[in-house]
Amino acid sequence: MTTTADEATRGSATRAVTARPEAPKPSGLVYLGLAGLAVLAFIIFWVTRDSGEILLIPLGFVTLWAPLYPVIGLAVMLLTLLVCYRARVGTMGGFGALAFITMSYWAGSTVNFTLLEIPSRWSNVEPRLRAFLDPNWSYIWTVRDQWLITISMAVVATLIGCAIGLVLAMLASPVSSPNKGVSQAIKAVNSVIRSIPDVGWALLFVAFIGGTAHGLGPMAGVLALLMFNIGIVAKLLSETIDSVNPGPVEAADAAGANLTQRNRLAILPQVLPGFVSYGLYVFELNIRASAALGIVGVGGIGSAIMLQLNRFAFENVAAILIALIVVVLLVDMFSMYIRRKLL
Amino acid sequence: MSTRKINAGPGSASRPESRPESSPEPRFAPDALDRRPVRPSRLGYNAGMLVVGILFIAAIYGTGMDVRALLDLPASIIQYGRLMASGVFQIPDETVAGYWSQSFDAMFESVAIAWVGTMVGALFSLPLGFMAARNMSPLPIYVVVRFVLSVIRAVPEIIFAIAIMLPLFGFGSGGGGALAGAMALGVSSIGTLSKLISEAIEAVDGGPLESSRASGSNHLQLIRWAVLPQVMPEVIAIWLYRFEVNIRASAILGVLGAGGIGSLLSTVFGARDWDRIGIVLVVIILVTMVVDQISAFIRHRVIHGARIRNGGGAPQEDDDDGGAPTPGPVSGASVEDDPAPKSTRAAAGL
Amino acid sequence: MITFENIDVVYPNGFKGLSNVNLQIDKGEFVAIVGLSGAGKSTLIRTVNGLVPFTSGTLKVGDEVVDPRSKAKLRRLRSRVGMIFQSFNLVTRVSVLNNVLVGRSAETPTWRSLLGWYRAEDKELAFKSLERVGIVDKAYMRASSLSGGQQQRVAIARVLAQDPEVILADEPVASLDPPTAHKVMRDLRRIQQELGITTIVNMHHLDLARSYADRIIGMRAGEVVFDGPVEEATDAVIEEVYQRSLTAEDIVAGDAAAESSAAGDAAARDSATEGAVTERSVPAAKAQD
Repeated sequence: MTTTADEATRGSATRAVTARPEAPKPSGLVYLGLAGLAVLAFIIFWVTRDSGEILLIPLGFVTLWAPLYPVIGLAVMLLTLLVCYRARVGTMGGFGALAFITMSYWAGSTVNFTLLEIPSRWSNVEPRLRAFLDPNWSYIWTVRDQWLITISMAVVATLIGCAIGLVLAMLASPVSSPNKGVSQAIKAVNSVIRSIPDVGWALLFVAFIGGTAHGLGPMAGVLALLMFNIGIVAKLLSETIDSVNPGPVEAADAAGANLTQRNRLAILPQVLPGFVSYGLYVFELNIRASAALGIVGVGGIGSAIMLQLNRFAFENVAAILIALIVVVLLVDMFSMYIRRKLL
Repeated sequence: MSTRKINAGPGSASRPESRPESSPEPRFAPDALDRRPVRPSRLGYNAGMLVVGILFIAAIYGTGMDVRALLDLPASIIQYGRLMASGVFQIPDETVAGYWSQSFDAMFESVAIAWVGTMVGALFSLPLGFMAARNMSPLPIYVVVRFVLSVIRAVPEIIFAIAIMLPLFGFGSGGGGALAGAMALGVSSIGTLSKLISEAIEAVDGGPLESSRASGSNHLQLIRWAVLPQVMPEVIAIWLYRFEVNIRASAILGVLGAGGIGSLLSTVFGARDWDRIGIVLVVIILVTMVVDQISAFIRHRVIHGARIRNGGGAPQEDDDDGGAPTPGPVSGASVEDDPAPKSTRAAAGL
Repeated sequence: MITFENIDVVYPNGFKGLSNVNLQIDKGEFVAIVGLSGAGKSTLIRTVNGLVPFTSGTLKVGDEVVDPRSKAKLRRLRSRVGMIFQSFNLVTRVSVLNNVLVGRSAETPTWRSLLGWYRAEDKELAFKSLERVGIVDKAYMRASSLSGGQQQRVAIARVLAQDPEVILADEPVASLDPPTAHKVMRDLRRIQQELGITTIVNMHHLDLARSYADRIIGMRAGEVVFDGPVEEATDAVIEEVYQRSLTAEDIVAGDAAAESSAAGDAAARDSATEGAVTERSVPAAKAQD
């Protein structure tokens, strides 16, 4: 207590004498290097451009030309670097800004980003939108079987996926796994599972065991959702296990529990709330996903959407989609209710 | 209290949930055995488990799936897996090299779609996040924005794609499909992003808000100097996380005709060309894992800051990072030894 | 009972936790280990049940030689050696009874643990342990709803459920307020005397060590620098151990009841019932959670 008071008085006494500190300045040299990187990116943009528009710069005796969009990109990059430098952003921040602009430029040119064609193409959208605003309500009830399949698929995949995800998470987290090798191996397997998108799994399983055409759509769909769920649950849960309170784990060890007992008695109760809410989250995702996956032939409501879409029966599609929104909202409310009730 | 004590005789055993003050009066305590509480009913729990079990079995019937199909699964996994592996591990001639570069192009297009989609979502999500934060916006705006956001979140991205974006921008990689996919992802990202951002804003430390209000700053100044510095790292992390999600989500849009890896997937699976399927899957796994790693690195970096900061600046800020890693007993000794004399002095003073 | 012969502990980061420790602890002894933080008290205690593996020397618990490399042997050893922690280390989300039953793990088949279907005799033992520490009425409450002192007693019950030959206690009362600390120490002392369990307790409060222990071991920088009965552990000796003069920090403000019955058999004869009375008479114990 007294020391801090001492320091405070000493501080105020010496303040008049010491020079004011300079605001920290980022290294100008590094910023120059960043500008070099910007020029490099500009050259790459120039070489790989696919728009022919050019910018003419008349200088009187000679007229320079450069492709329009890369020049705009370069200007934006250099301007940003200048602003960052003046605002005394650290070099890492400047690099981040540069990377962000480069990435955005690349992504924008890859997808041919333009909003100019919207007015001319609006006529394409209008009939569809009108159909969507005037859905064929009577159609909703005719696809109830598909709805049943969709929800059943989501339930089955969620329950099995959570069970397998729990085991994988226990093996993946260094806190609960038998040894480091197992943990690393399971983590690697899990990141492979996670990196294949749900539609990739659906296509794979449809190819493996046959899709709706063979009457096996739901099986393929459940398997696809299963892989999708395992990836998510195992990732989230293993991170939860990483941050579990180590005390009870040590106590179980000290009581002579083996690994399985320790995980069951000291770790599982601690992660249970997280586990339940991940399960509910995954269930929500499954409803949406199984609607989408029907497109590739795994059965459920998605196959009905695809069928009507191919017939250009937008009123029917609209009816299904509106029902889908309602179902998703209901599931959302249901899971909120469960979460509040249990946790 | 006294009546409670009378009640709490031997019969108290039937009240397992008794609070500390109503535990059995010791002087009248009978045999220790009698004071054991009755096991509370687990009816609710058991019933819940039963319902889940029944639901599970009913759902298996409900899907109408043919479990016998599973019997053939291992055989076909081995068979097709071998085909895919032979595709991946063959020495690439010109055609196969073309397959690889085509796969990488498609995957990069997916990354671009996801990036543009995330940017569009991010652009709208920051203001909407502020509007949907209870501590930042007036009640009417808050309610309306929250409602709109929850509707957007309920609509799957394929709906935006089918209903608006694909007819608006066109189909296929060349014909604007990529942009359509990006816009669909962007619009559907708005819902989740804004909700997460508004939660981050609601969780900010109220102290700086109060002090900047007290010093007379207006709403925008408040946001700029009191809120943004607190939430920006988290907001960037949320955006990056959504970027990862969008890469995966772009695949399903591609199947619908929005370009990217999804289009390629549906082509190669349609042709049952297992060599190419293997190559495409390997490319997906490689690129996704690399992007995830980079994104995780940036998120970690943004949230926890750099490990080392060059002096000069603000030494106070470094203290929060807890720079020094704690190697068990060594630091325990040095840390504990230091404050002991100080607190001793304090104790002596008291 | 427990024999340390030239025990060294070197941590992976090179820090020397214990150096050349030689000790002989007899059956039924109540030993307090004192020393400053970082002196190696925790390391010493954790070496006994293998939570910290020693790097050289020989350690015997009973007739069994401790082998930190064999997991199966360690588990068998740990089933005979109970441990109590400073932060109680209960699973706060499950019931008190289930926490106590964790102590039966070594004797319970894994599948029973997985399903939570414990044998009737294990449950009986758990209830008896709870009765011994006087909180059987809380058996079905969540551990998180108990006060700190009650939680530590659940932890003691968990140890008793192991039916141990040795109890290790690592700063068992450091996070409790003084009256509760005395009560928990009295419980420990009583249990040690009733059941004849060898008990080793780490503490940095000298007065508690003197009141409840038979023998005091002083540690500094990983070495045993004092070992003798309580009477020999005078202030001067302890100041030598601590390498500084004693201060108010080193004692717990004792409660009157504890003072009068200190080190005494009166405390040992305290029934569980009396523990419950005092528990209620001290509101601080309840408030502190």
